[in-house]
Amino acid sequence: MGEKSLNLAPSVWDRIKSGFSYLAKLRRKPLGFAGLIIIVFWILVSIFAPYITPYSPTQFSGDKFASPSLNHPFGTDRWGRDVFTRITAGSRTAFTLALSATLLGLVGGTALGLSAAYFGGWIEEVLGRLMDILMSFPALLIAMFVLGVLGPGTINVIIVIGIAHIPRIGRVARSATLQVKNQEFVEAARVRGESDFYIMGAEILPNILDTLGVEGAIRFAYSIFLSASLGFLGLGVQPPTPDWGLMISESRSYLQIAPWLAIFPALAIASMVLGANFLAEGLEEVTGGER
Amino acid sequence: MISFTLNRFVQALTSILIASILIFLIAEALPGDVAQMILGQYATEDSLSALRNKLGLNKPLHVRYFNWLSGVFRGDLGTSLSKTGVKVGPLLLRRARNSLVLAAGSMIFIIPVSFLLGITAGLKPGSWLDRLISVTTLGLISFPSFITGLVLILIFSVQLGWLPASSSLELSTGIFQQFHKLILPILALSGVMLGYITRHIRASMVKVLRSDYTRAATLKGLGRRTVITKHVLRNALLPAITVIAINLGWLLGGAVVVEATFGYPGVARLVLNAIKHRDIPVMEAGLLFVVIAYITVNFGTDILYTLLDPRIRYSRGEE
Repeated sequence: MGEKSLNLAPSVWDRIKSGFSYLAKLRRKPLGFAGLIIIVFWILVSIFAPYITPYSPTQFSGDKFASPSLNHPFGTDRWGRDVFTRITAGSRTAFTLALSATLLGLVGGTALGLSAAYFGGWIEEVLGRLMDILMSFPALLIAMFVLGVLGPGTINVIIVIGIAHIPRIGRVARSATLQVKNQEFVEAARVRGESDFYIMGAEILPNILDTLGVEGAIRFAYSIFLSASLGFLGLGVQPPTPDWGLMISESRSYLQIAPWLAIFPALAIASMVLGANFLAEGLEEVTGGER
Repeated sequence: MISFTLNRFVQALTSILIASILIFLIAEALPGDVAQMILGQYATEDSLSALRNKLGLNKPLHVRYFNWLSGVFRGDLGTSLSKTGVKVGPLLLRRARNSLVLAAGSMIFIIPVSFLLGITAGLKPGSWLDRLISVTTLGLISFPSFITGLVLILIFSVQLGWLPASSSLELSTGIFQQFHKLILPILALSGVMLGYITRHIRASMVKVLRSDYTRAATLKGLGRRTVITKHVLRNALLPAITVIAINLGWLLGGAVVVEATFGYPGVARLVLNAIKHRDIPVMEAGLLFVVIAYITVNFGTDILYTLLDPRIRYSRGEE
């Protein structure tokens, strides 16, 4: 930011262009670029999951506890299901959960944080207090509690993780808005007589997208982290849906005889979270965000 | 200072009170009938209503809340529903002690290591050592503790056979006689926090090194060593206290994954199992304990922070 001497509101097209230029700049950041590659890899895997292997993720396809071989590169589990197939199919579960939860958190957090900073006064005060209370409890504890009431399941996991994101994203959106809201183009829109809703959506929001993008990447990584943990605790997606956290939890009784049941899903989770964190770090450097 | 402390104390008490209401309400909202659960599905309607009367389940909501709360103050937390006849109070105390031992163990490990790594990396930002530490810590915060735990089990239990994979404690022997069972859980619990705190300390070192007063101290002609020990470290490490405190709260509630991985009998797993089995008295007591511990830690940190940094007292409320 900062170089612009004339504070005109950038157009939507400028925004898209700068979005791509950030991705192009990532090439010079080894960490961020590695993250980008890992995430793109997993996106491709999740898109083509059903076509990569001949097996079904929920049907048995061979002997029980077969160790890794050419037919079953990651071995089979206690029901004789192909672990490789369950890993590729599990990437879809992971993306579905993490993307939806992140989106929910971004929409809710941005709406709250932006309007709190824009209106100020008692609205900001009340929203700020609310977020402080929500944030003062460990996300996993809230998730555990709420899932205990709602019962486990895909939709509930998305809601719980999304809600856990809202205060943190809200805080980031608020401080980004505070930096923008007194600039000339916002003032100009106000003089033109635009509505508050228009100013927030069309003038301020496009200018805090950089910050929100970086935060989104961080929250995406954390979503995978959380959903895997919930799956591991048996509070997330239920069997037989292929879920990495759940797979690791099921593998624990067989660590001695079939360590591959734990190793491959662990690698999958670790690489995806690591990729998203690397990407977030790279984006933060590229967008020049000082947070 | 006294008015500030009082103010924060009242705030903490209010938070605990609100949390207790929330916990009670959510526990009430849990699906399922308690009397039915105790007596089983073949109980007659007569015996069910007799039990509801005895447990006071027919009374209005606010009466039951105050009954529960007064029980908490008298130290009577009721009896467990899933473990028949077990008093919740002593059960919770034992689990709380186990959790505190685990949390303390992690802290003793994390604080010196993260300070060392964070300061080393922060003193020379951009150096290869800084990069190595940055990537490692990014890795640490990316691995959920059950993965770290599993890797530790695979190496130290399955392969080497040095340490046990299960950390369930024997009731007859003291916890410190079974310390070998604590090592793996402590390491697994420490991973993510070690990463966070190290990164935080590094970032705040870099920020302080670039600041005006550091430059001023250097221009005054002080040696680098004096500048760093007298000016930089002091200002950079102060914020770390808050981060550590926030994470200490996380250790109490967030340890559930580690406790589940190793079968360690801590509070978090007690709550998790209580939620799963709809054991409402245990669940309420466990959650209340975690919340009180959490708020107490935050309160203590605020006071400590204010004692160490008098600026806070006068500039509260600013960002």
